[in-house]
Amino acid sequence: MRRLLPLALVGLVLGAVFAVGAQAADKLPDLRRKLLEAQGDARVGAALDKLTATIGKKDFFADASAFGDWLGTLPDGRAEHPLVKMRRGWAYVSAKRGVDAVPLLRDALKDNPGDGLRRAYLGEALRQAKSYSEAAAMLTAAVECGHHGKHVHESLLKTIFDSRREKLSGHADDLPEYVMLAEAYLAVRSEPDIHFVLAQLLLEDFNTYEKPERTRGKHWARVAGKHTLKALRTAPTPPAGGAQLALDAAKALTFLDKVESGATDRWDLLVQAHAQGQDPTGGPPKFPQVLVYLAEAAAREGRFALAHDLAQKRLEISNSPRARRVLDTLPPDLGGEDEEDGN
Amino acid sequence: MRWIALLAASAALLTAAVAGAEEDPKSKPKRVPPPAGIWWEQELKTGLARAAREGRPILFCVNALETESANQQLGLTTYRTAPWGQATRGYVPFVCNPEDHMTAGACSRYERHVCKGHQDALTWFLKQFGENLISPQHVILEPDGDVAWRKEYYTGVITPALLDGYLSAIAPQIAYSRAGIGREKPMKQLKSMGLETIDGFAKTWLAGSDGMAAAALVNVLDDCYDPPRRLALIAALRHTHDLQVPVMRLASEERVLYPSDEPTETAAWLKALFLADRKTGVWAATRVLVRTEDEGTRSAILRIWAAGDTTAEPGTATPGIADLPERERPFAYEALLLAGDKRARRASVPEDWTTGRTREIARARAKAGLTTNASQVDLAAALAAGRPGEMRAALLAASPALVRKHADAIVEGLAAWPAQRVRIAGALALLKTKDAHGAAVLGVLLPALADIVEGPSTHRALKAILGAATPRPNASAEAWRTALGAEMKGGGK
Repeated sequence: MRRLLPLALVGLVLGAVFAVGAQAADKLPDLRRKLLEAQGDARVGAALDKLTATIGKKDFFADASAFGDWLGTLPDGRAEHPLVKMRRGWAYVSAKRGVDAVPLLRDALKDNPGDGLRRAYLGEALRQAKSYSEAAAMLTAAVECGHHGKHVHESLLKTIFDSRREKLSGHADDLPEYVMLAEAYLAVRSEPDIHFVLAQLLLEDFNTYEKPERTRGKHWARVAGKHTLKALRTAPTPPAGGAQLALDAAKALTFLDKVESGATDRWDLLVQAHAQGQDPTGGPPKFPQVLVYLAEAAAREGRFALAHDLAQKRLEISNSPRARRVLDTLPPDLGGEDEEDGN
Repeated sequence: MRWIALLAASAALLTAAVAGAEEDPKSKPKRVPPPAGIWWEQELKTGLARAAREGRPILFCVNALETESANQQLGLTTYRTAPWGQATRGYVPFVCNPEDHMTAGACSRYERHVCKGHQDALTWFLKQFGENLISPQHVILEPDGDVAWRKEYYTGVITPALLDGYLSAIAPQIAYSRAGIGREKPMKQLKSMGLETIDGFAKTWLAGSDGMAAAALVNVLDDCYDPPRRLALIAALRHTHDLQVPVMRLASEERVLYPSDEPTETAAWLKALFLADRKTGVWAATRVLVRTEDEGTRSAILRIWAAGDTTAEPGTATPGIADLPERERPFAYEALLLAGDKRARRASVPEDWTTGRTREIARARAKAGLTTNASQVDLAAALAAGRPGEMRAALLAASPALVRKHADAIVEGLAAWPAQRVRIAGALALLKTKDAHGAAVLGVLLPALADIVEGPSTHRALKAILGAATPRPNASAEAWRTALGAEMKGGGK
């Protein structure tokens, strides 16, 4: 027992020394030294990861912004290492300092133009730097490079909102800039919720700034209708507010539909509004008036029996003078006992 | 003994409890009578949805300038009166005001209301009718949101009688169900008076300010089973004013759509409708003409239409389309064509009848059957407008080459309308075109069957083609493929 005691004491001392040594290795100067001495991308990346993990911890970096600035002070050309620049760019993006991040990420991208992640970071940095069209183009390119993470999606949505807040439209016949830049993205990767948001915003702007009979108003209404249909048809589950959106989009197209004798998406939008507004418990639909709008469109198209059925369905829910007006325009043999013989 | 004591004690307690319940007025919650005035809708979205669901007109009362005298008068006095309350019970009424008057959980300015309701209503109103707000202002909307009546400022035009009138115009069923309230006395008089006095009494009543007089008369009519009295009441309804004509139309609908059930009453209704409102008369007459089998009865209807009465002696000249007012002739032409009446075939048809009512006449042509040399345009119209049975006749009579030409249009995606594509696809199923167009036919029909709006009519169209072999509406795509494939292979009937 006496012989074992010194051994145990030595063990304890050694353990304490190693523990202190390990704690010392986590200190900033050591991490810095490891980063400066690291050879090869893998080791540089690992050293950066360890440093990144210290952001927000006591005695390390207060936030990502401080971390980015610190990386910029590294000596011996280490600050110019592509991975360091990339990480620094990321840090500035995280800290909402897109203006500072853009040159770093541009440089980082030169080393690997096919890296979708770098493009995604640069896209977000450009958004923060208020270069919205370039941001959307970069995010689109990121998707084209096969990178479509959640943050790309969120960056694009933010780009749409920011761009809209900044500038509504250019020339008189144009779509708003936020629509055009989003359409380029959607052409590469169609996402139902982006179509949905785009349709909502465009309809809101249409109702605020445009008139249905103006050239630009017609254009906006048509595009809003297309995005609405895309959003509702491709959504994996019926989106909340889908029926209202479809109805609003159909209303925006009412004038154009008359001018073009029905050659717009209005009918399909009304069908969507009707379908999405169905009550799963079998109660009346959310927007009974949609049945009248469909009946009117069917009557204009010469589909009298369908118009009759739709107007009658509206009247089965409740009284509707508008539905009765539709019935008045139909040939007089419709109605009464031979309804089942309709077309 | 102890049991007896216990029973006695229980009985005493029960008696005391019953007596207490009778004597203590505080034991029952005090019932607060509802206000006599307008019962404002509390929540905008719920109210608008309720209006559409229940078919009620919507009333917006803009009462936004609280210091202005007319707004004060309306908001604090007029809207709280019983006549306004009664006249708006059939409506979904909203008051629009931006201010906050919440005291102890309720709005102190508008009875039984919360301020968020009148604030939201104002926001919605401004969005709908522009930012230049005039207050006071009143707007009546139809249940689907169309403006029926609007008046800025308050000059006394809007009254309970006007509100009753618009209730009759917009929601005749609700007017009918409410007409008995407060009109018991005249209705009772009308039920018991002599036949010869009904017309004069009704004329006075209908000419007055009562916006639901016609609805009350129809109530009396529905309670009357004496044929001569019924005819007298229907005749008396001819004095109905414009706004209340929809009540007449609603009441006459069964007689118009099923004229052979009570031909005498149908004729009486036609006459009353023509005299009350010419347009409604034409609506009714065309429908009756189409549903009338014999030519003699159709002549009588045309006589009512032409002269407004049936006084002409039998044997006088049979009226034709030319005897009708000029602008109403196309309607008669169409109705007679659909009824198969020879007067339509004899009529010389001005060009504008066919250009103005092309669709209706095309439909009538399909009904009559197309000739073998029917033009492509005629065929397209028949395909677009015809019913399945008529389409079959039209197709069999038409040149197969023309049909195939339309078939090519489907394949090339040129047919503009979904319905037209469906019909032409159905036509192809009839005409043994499996080899050339089978895939196109199925490609058009299967999505149409699944469509929420197109589905039922497509099913009916296919039922006419497939007969007993028609799968159920919710059958699988494979079942439809099999049934249609068999039809195409067999080459139709």
